[in-house]
Amino acid sequence: MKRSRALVVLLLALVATAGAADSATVAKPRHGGTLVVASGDPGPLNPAISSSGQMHPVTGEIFNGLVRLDRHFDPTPDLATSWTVSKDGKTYTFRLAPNVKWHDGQPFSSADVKYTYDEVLLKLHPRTRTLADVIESVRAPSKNVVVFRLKQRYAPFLTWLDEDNGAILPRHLYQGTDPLTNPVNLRPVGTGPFKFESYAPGDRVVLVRNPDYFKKGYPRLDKLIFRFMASAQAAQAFDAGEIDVYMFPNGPDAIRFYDRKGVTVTERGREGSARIVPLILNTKRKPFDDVRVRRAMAYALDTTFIARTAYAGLLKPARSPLTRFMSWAYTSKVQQYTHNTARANALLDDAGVRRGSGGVRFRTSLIYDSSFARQAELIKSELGDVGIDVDLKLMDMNSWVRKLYLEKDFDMGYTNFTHPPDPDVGWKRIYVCSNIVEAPFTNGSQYCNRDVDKLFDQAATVLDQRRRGDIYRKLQRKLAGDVPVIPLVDGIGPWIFRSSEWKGFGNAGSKEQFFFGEKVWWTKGSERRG
Amino acid sequence: MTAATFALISAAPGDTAQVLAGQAGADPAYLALIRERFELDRPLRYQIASYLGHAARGDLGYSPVQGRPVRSAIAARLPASALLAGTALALATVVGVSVGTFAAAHRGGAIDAAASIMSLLAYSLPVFWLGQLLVALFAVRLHWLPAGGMRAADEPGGVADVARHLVLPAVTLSLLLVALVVRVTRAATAEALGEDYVVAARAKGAAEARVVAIHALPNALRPVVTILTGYLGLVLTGSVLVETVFVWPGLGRLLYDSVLARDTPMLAGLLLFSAVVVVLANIAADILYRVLDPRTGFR
Repeated sequence: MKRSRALVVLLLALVATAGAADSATVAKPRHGGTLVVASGDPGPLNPAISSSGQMHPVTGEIFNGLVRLDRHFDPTPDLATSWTVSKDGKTYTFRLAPNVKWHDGQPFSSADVKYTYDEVLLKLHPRTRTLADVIESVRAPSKNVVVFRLKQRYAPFLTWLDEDNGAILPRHLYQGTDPLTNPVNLRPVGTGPFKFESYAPGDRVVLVRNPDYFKKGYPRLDKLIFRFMASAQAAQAFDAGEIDVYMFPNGPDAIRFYDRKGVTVTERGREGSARIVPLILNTKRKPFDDVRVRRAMAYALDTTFIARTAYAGLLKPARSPLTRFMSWAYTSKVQQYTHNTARANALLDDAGVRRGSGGVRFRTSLIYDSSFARQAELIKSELGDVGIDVDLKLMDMNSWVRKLYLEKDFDMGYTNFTHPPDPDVGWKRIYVCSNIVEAPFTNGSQYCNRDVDKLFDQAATVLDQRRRGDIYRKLQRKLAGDVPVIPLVDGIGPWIFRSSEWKGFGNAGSKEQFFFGEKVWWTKGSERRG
Repeated sequence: MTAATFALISAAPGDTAQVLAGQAGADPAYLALIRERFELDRPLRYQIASYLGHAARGDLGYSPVQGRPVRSAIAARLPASALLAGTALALATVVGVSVGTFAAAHRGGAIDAAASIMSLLAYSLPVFWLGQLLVALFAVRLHWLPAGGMRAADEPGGVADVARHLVLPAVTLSLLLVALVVRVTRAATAEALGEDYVVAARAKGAAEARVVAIHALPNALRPVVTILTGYLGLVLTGSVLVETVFVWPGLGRLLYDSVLARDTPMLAGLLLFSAVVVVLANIAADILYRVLDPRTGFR
C-alpha cells in the first residue's frame, strides 16, 4: 500500500515535471529568424529631425532615446538606466547605461546626448524644438551623466525623451555637418538592437542583429526587413505569406483577418497612436461662432453610427474630447450629445438659424481626403437631416492641411489627432489661443478662451499626476460644453501579425510598434544563439 | 517645360516644408526654417532660374523628401523601371506582331476573330483591377508567383528570383500594348498583302509564309515601331498603376510619391529625364525606320 502510494507520488511528480518542461520549451524565447514587416517608404532615416510615422517604426529599431514609455505612458529605462528629479522639479539628472557602443564601434557617451539636444533635437525636430522654451541647459558633467536644467517646472518632461521625440544621434558622425542633408541619414548608425544593412529606395530597408547591443540577450531575431507597400498590397502580401507584420492596415483590410487562424489583430502595444477624430468647425465663421449651433451639430451627428459604419467598429464613439487611453486624465463625466435630431432642431431654431426654402437653414462645406470619404458622406446626410446643407469638397491631404491650418479658409474639416504621450503634448495644441498659428495640426477652429489657456498652463507645472488629472478633467468638461471641435470617434486602430510564428509582441510600451524588434522571437528559431 | 513643372507644383496647395513637418504639428518657425534651408521661400522665377542653371551643369538638385540628390534617386529606381518596361515592350512586340501577322494572313478566320475580341478586351481592361485579380489568383490562391516586389525577402536578388517577380507586372503592363500592336500589325500587314509587290511575289511562285514574312511584314512594321518607341517614354515613367499594384520599386511610384509630397526638384528631374527618354526613343525610331525601309534614308 505504502509502496504503491509512493509510486503514484513519483508518477505525479514525473507528469508534473514533464508538463513544466513542455510549457517551458514553448514559452522560452528562441533565437534567429527574419521578420518581414510591411510599412511605408520611410525616406531619410534620421529620427532626430523628423516625426514621420513612416520612419519611426524603422528608426525605433536602430536608435534609442533616454527613456522608453510603457503602456500607461510612464517612462522606463532605455539609454538612461536611472534618473533623479531635484526638489524644485527643475533639474533632471540621468545616469546612462555603461559601455554602450555605436554600431560603428565608437563608444557612446553623455557628449552624444548633449550634442543631439543642443544642435539637432531642440533646433530641427518638428515637435521637440518647442522644448527649447522649457530647457535652460543640457550638461554632460561626466561620461555617464547628463543633467537637464529646466526654466520652469514641466510635468510632461520625461515623456518627451523617448526615441519618437528624443532619439540620440552619434556626435562623431554629425558634428560640423548639416543634419538635414548629412548622407549618414541614408545609412544610419545608432545604438539600438538592430544595425542598418541596406536601403533600396521604393523597395525595402534591411536591418541585422546588433550582437553588441547593451541590453544583454537582445535582440533575438537575426534580421528585420521593412518592405514598402500600400495597405491593399500589404493585405495581399500578408495573405500570400510574404510578410509577417502589417503595421497600418485600413479598416476593411484589418477586418478581413479577424478570424484567421494563427493571425492576431490587435491594438495592444500601439497606445501611443490613440487618437480622437474631431469634426473641426471654423469658429471665426458664422454661424459656427454660436455655441448653440455647435451643440446642435453635435446632437445631429450620430457618432455611434459613424463609428460602426465608417470605422467598422474599430474605433469607438468619442465620449470626451480626450482619448480614453490617456486613462489617468480621462473622464466621460462630461456633457454627452446623444444623437437627438429634435434637440438639434430646437437649438438651431433658438440660435435664429431658421429653415429657408427647401428646409435649408444654411449651406456650408467640408474639406477632406479620400480616407475620410465614408465619414464625410455620413456627416453630410446627418447634418442634412437638421437642415444644414453640406457641400463635400474632396481633395488630397496636403491641400486640406493648407486650407485648414495655414490659410484658415474653410468651414468644416477633420484631423486624426493623436493625444499621447501627454495631454500637454497632443491635446492642448487643438484648443489654446497661443496655438492659432500658420502651421499644420494646430488650433484650426481658432477657439480662444483665456480660462482654458490658464488651466492648460497650470496643468503643465503640477507634478502630482492625480492633481494634474483633476485639471484635465475640468478641461474636458469645459471643452465638451463649448465644443469648438466635435469629437467623433476615439481609438487606436489595429495592427496585424502572424502570431503562430512570432511571439513576444506587445509586452511593453505604448510605442511597441517602434520597438518590437528587441523582444520578438521566432517559434522556429534555435534554442541557443549559435 | 521645367518652368511649367515649377509653376504647376507651386500652384498646388501645400509645399515640401508642410509635408516634412508631418502629422505631428509644428510651429511656423519650423516651416520658415525648412523653406529657407531648401530655398522654397524664394520667388518662383528665382527658383526656376536657379534650377536651370544647375541643371545645365548636370546638377538636378537635392530632394529633401528622398534625402538624396535627385540624380541618385532617379538612378536608384531606373534599373527596376527599365527591366519592367523592356520586358513588357519585348513581350508586346513578340506576341503582338506574331498574332497580328497571323490574323492578317488568315483574315476572317476563327483566329482572326478571337484576336480581335481579345485585343479589344485587353485594351479596355482597367490595369488596377486586372493586377489585383492576377495577384489574388496566382499569389494568394495558387502560391505560384509572389504577390509583389522585385525580390523575395530571404536570399533575394538571383536572376530566377527577379524573373519570378517580373512575370505578373510585365504581363499586365504589356497587355495594353499587345492589344495595340496586334491591331496595328494586322491592319498594316493586311494592307501590305494587297500591294503590287506582294502580287508580284506571289506570281513568281513564292510560298505564302515567305510572302507574308519577307515581303509584307517589314513594310507593315513601321507603324508598330512608331507605337512602341512612342510608348517607351511613357512606360518608363508612366507605369504608376502597375508599379503600385505590384509594389515594383520603379520610377512610376517615385513620380506618384513625389506629387503627393510636393517634391518639386524630384518632379522636375523626373520630367526632364522622361523628356530625354522620349527624344532618344524618337532617334531610335528613325534608325529603325531606315533598317526596315532603306528608301527612308534617301529622301
